[in-house]
Amino acid sequence: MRERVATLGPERGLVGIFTEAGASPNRETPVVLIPNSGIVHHVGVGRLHTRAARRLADRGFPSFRFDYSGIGDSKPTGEAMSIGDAVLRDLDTAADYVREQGFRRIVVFGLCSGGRDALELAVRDESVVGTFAIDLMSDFVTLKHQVVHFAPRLLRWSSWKNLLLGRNARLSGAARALAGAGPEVEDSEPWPEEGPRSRLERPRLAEMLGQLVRRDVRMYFAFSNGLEDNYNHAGQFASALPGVGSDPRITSRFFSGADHVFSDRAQQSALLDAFEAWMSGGFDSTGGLS
Amino acid sequence: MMPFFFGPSSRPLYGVLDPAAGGSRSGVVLCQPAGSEYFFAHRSCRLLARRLAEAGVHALRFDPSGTGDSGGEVEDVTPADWIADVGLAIEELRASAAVRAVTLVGLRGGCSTVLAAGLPEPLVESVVLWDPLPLEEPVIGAPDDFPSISEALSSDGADDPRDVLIVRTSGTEPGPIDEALRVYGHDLDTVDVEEAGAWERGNGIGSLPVPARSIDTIVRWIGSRA
Repeated sequence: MRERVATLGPERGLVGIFTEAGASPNRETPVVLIPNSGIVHHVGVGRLHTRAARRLADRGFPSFRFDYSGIGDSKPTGEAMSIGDAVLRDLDTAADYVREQGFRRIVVFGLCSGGRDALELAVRDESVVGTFAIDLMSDFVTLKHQVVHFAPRLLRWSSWKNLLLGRNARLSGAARALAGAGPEVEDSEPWPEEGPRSRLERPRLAEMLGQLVRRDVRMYFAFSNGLEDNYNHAGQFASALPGVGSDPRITSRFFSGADHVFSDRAQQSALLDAFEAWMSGGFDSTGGLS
Repeated sequence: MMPFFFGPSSRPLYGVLDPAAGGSRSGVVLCQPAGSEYFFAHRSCRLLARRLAEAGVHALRFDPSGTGDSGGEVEDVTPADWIADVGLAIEELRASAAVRAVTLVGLRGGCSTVLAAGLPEPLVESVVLWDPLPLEEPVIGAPDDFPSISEALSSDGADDPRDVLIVRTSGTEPGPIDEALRVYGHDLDTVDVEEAGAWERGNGIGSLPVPARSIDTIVRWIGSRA
């Protein structure tokens, strides 16, 4: 395993780490692209991205983890552009960089807003053959979710008190941050307080999944307990997205007990075990689908 | 801003150099906190490095072994490895920017690293302790048995006095560290700043506090010695 720093994009302002998987790589091997989770720099929370990259390299898969403009070690561009547009431009630049290294297939791994970015890149770039999204921000609420969510609360006095006082459940601070406060425009200005990028609405998500399934893209959706208001039991993904959610190209798993950023080391290891197994089971590191 | 790997190929270290314009011979090595504070502090450390470079001081921030993008896992790293890493960073700064005098800046747990590694190092002329941990407190996210500030101050080779600046933001309790530094003969300046610390979570990490006044204080203090 060897890692090197890459600088790319306008004025070579985007910074990332390319992790090579061997001395003579097969160019058909998918490269794993790892974008930021919100404003956390390319190492990832609890070194999630660094560890994912190195474990994959041991399995024969190269990767590229990088920072969007203005986040982590990448320079702000100073351009007047929406956060969403800037993210798409930087994703395109990173995908181009991977192709410039001689690889033609990409898998995108992302947590929270990074999961949304994985899907966004996949629908616009046919090089993407797989996505691994962790705690994707969308609407997955079903009747069973409501039962699992509210039944224990109906028995708690604090729930009635909150209702009477008009307090609503809110995203935790960490979840809000990872949902994607955007890149800074200038270092000298306060960090933008634009709040989370809008989550993917369910119809749009279903449309994206349908498009990707037709293209034979493999997808994995991992969920934690961290977004309990929205996702709280195994199998909810398929129930929330009838039809496409049960497609054999799609895998979903609920990591009960994990928080939104998988801060517990054992939970992080379980997540990376699942990622490694999914990669090895579906993509041949010597090229092609296995 | 120049990101790169340096040090041994068996366990490379990731660093980012902000080079100063002109022929500056002064440099800073920035020792960041570990654990969760590392993520909260990253942006502030980046801004401090850039401000130092603009003030004519080369600034190198780096991830010690087992953290960030550097090689290894912290469970497999010893205190001696972390101390050696600071030496490698100083040597890298000397080689790449031809600096002749180095200031070490430590933030939170990085203060112990600075004292343990920097006091025995002849090229180090001054030290900045930014929101240091209490004297005896173990360092968050460090290798097992990593020295506390108290242990670092009393270690072998740490008896050459330096100019020391302590900057404390609102979240840091004043402690006996000032007296301990004076006992060991260091020339001490202290500045208390009413603002949130670089390492603090703030209102969720979507609103990372940037302690602008602390950064200004550190840049002015180091700049006046360059």
